[in-house]
Amino acid sequence: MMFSSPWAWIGALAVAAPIAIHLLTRQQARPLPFPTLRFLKGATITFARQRRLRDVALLVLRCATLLAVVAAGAGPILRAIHGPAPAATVLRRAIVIDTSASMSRKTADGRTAIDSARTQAAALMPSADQTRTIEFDRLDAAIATAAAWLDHAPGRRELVVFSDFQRGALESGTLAMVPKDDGVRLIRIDVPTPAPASASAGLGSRTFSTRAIVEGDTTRVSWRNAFAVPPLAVQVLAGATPSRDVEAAIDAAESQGLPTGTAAHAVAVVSADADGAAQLLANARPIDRPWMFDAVQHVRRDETLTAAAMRSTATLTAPALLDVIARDRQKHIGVAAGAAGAGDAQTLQFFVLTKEPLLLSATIAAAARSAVGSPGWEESEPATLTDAQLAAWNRPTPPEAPVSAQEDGRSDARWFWALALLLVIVETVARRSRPSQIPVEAAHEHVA
Amino acid sequence: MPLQPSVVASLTDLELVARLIVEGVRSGPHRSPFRGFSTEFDQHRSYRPGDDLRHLDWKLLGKTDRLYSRQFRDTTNMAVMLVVDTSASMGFPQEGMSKLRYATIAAAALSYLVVTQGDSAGLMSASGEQLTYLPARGGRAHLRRVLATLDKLQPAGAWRPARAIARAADLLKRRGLIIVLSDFYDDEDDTLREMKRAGRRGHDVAMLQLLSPAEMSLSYPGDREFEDLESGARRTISPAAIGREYRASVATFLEEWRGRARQNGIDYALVTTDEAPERALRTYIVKRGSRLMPARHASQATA
Repeated sequence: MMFSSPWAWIGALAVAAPIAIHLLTRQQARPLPFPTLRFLKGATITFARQRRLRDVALLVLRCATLLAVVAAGAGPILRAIHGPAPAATVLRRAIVIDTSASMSRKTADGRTAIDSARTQAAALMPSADQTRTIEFDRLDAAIATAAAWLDHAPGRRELVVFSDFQRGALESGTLAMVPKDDGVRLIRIDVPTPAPASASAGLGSRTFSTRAIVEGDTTRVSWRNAFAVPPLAVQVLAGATPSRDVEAAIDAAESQGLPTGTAAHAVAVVSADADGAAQLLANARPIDRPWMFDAVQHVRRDETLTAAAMRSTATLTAPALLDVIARDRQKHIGVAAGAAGAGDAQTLQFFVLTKEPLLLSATIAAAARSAVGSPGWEESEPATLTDAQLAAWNRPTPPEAPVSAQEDGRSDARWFWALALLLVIVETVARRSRPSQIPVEAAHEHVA
Repeated sequence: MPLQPSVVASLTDLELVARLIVEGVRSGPHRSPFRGFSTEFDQHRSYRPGDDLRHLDWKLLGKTDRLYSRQFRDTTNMAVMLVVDTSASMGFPQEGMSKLRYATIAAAALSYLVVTQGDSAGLMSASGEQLTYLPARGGRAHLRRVLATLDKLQPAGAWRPARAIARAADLLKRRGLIIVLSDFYDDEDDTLREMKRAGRRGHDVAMLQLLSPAEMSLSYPGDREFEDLESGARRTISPAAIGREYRASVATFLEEWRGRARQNGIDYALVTTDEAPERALRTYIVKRGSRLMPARHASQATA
């Protein structure tokens, strides 16, 4: 039960009045005229010295009446009758957790920054009526998703972001997507300084290894190259005898300088010319591993692949269960992703549904980069957004609007007034039904 | 069947009440002890030289051949003075038949009885410093005055019984009967002294002590504050806690008065207001009937 005017409960102090009256007033019974007091000996009872509660039942009724009146004046709102609380009091909170590479570093307590963020996010959940948690390695995309969810929610809204806030990870334009009436809280997770980033890439017959060390605003890069043919990080399924277009596509992909290194998972690119491509397509199932989703997300963002798909025309049709990577000029699926295999030997397959060598080349390059993973140059940035900047972006959460019973029209004071009236009636009946103070003379003994 | 106090209390005509009570008394099986105005033969005795020959019983001489003189009892008119206590304590209880009302009815009945027998009745009542006095006379007119005065009596203040009794004894021209109707709460020693003095002066003194059942039993529920009707003093007690002791004290008080009366030759009767007045008066009159005759010291009309 809520009260729109809880300050009215100070009137409950008035309950002391009937208690004091019952204690202090003497029972004003009429004295009995008697012929002589000469024989009335013994202990004399003095009412003035006895402070005991009289008529406890009447006192309870009177106190209960007073409390009912005070409760009615406090504007009670019985939630059970009216249902959920009004929107002005409901808090909806979107929590964004930065899952970029820098957040994988361990904090001082030995846990990763992501786990620390998740723990703090869980602690916030009880204080909100509705909560949605979004974990993503890009704050701009995650905040956009959170803002879209908040925008459609009534009541009070709040965005909470857990991140190490590397410089460049968040910009004011990103926060502009959050409605200005919504609260924003940017909570920093302290992470240690990143280790130097390194990467290698193959270009032709040479392999280039690069090492970057970021110190403050200075970046020192060292690199070396070696004559070595870098293996592709992805498997290209093009048939027993790849066509000249397929070989050209592979060469084109390698010429872009694909990252070298061992792929953590098996990734394959299936050409439309590959033997059994249709069979592989039919046997593919929806992706169901987090690394697959990450790789698919990475490939989907490849702009070269997207542009190449727009210039192609799909010749194969992908089952609806597969993930769409890119569409052709007719909006048909140009590249789709599916899973094959089982257990630890699963393979992420990218199906190129057109014979356009350009699209095949772009898919091979994108898949290779997703398989090895980027060195995360941006994750090497040690500098973070200042506390002053974060404080400037913080916005207070709108306060809970007081429920006005009159405006809301949902006050249940009428029930308490009815209770008070009922108690008054009961008290009146009880008071009048008390035995008369005039004694009734009983049968008397006759003194011989 | 005697009239119950409730019936008597409902009757406003005091003369009617008195008459009904007296008729009830007279209709009882007991021989009325009252004797009217006459010269009555008392006894025979042997003739002595010098006796009045008019009183010689010639018939007895004829029978016995002996001389006997007749002795007569010269019954003079009996004067009865009713002394009624009209103090405030006689106003208890305030509901139903009060002691004063009962005393008034009893006094009225006694007046009616006495006057209709040819005797004289008077009234003395005292309330505070005010004395109400009617001399002892006979006749219907005087009886009505007595009844009218009795009907107007109201309880108020305290009284000095000794003064009222002393005045009554003084105002009785000849030896008579003084009947005091009171609860006898006040000035016990002085009251006894004056009653004894009245007795020494030749008057017969009788006391009808009137109490109500309520003041004898103190049967009240809970804790009550009691107020003395005469002094106004108050006391709060628990009747249940002291009831036994109270009743013992009252019994002792009554017994003391009974003893004092007995020791001093004073007629005593305890009357409670729940007793039918007719029965109470009959009991008193029949039991003490011989004492209602005045000191039969009168002239011995003998030969």
